[in-house]
Amino acid sequence: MPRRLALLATLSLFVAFGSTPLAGEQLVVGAADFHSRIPEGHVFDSVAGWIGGALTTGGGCLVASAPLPHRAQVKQLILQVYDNHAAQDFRIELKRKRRGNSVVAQTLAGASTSGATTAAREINVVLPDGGHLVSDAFVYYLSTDADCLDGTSHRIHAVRIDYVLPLFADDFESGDTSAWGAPPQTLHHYWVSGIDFKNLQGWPWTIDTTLATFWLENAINSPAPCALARLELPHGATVGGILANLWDVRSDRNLTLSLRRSTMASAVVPAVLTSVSTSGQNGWQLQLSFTVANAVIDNDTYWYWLDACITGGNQVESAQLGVQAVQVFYSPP
Amino acid sequence: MESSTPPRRTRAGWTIRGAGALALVAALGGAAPPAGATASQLDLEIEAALAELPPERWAETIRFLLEAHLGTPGVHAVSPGSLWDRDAALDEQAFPVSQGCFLSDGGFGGCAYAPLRFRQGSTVTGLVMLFVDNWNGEDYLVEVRRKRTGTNDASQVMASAASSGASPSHRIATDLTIDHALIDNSLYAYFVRLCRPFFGSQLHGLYLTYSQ
Repeated sequence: MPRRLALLATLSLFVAFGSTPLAGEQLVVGAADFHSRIPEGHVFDSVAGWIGGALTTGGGCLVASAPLPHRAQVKQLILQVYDNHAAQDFRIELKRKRRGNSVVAQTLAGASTSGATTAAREINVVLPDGGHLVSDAFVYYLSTDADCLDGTSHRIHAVRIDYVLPLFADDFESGDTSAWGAPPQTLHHYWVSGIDFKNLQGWPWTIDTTLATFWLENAINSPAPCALARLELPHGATVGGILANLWDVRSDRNLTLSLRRSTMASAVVPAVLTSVSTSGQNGWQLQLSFTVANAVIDNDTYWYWLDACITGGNQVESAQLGVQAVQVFYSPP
Repeated sequence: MESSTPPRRTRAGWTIRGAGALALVAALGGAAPPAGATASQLDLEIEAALAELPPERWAETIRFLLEAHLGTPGVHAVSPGSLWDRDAALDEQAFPVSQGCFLSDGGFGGCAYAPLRFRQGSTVTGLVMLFVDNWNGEDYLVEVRRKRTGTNDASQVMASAASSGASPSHRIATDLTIDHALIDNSLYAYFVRLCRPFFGSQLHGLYLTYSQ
């Protein structure tokens, strides 16, 4: 096996010289990935391509998911922003929140703007201690909560997150080659966090950035629409199941989370691929389903989404029902 | 409903059945489209072919034509959950999960946005929107845009498709003439801009095709 020997020789060189073989990657979190943590709290200029803060109460506090892969080592943030506000600055932070508990999120890195200028800015933030190792026990996101955007003199163009991925399986770099010859991992996962949900038709909702959790709310006491989040999987992928961290402290209400698809070319009733529900009122719940109908993703016939619906009645108050994270397992095409 | 017309094996390897095959072959003059046709020719071919077809044949027809011209396409569907209103939470829109489409029935029209993420070096080959627009006052407009993130430059339109006039039927709008089609994540961020009529309309789907 000359190829295997060559690879092992390369690996031993890396080990011998104390270097870890790494592949550099960049996650681009564009302006269009950001939104406010409350309704009507942001202004996205869809021609210019930037997002700013709205001058509403609580507006300007923007968030965006940062779907970093498990075992990535985050090295640097590059904040691409605009600040021409004479009196105020704003701050962007990378945070992580462990799933399934109420311990507040940790800030991993961040930086503030300073002063006013009409020029586009680029602020580099190097993570301490050689970088941060990503774990899928957490959800990762960007937040401006520490110092929110104040109107449209504050703008985000993008945040670029530089990270490296280990080229080899666990422990390979340390000389443990027991994983050599193991088949490649076939089950991938797609993350959706509470940060990604929203409600429609003017319904109230809140994203709690300290817990990365979306709270369903109903201030009107009439049937609430279901909250909605993205689901964009590769064409031809096969969905294996979902794992959801949900919150429920209402004995007479539950929250049902469904993965659905709808036919694009006709008005056929949408189909549920799989769903989970909370039960009881014991706070955080890990709900899972690995029974999936119509599991193969067909992106030019259907569009797909996740929805979170209140069941058992209409009225619910903030912090009674919530979604923190949804992990969708799939096999690539 | 599946037609009894036998499937036709094309030179590109696609099998098209029934009304799809008949209308497509008629639209193309009895042959698969020539490889190397320009994007604007492709736009016209697809427009002509789709006009003859029922909605359930649109997706396979677009796939067939793209494969004949450009190789096997990747397909990215924009999730309805990805769309955010430009300055509110799609406030005047409804998305009943029992219907699976955005309904515009009064209030404001306005524009929404959604992020797009493609692999570095991919080439965007098409934009497809499926909708009902039964109001003469305004039309749907969807655009794929790229923003050079390190600058104050305005974003650039890569592709656009629009509705026109009023009809209660399901319709499709496509654009296969893509500017700046090569994805360069090192300089740009990509997004969809969607502006909708404020009345009498339904957005049923949005997808992009690409090659690696």
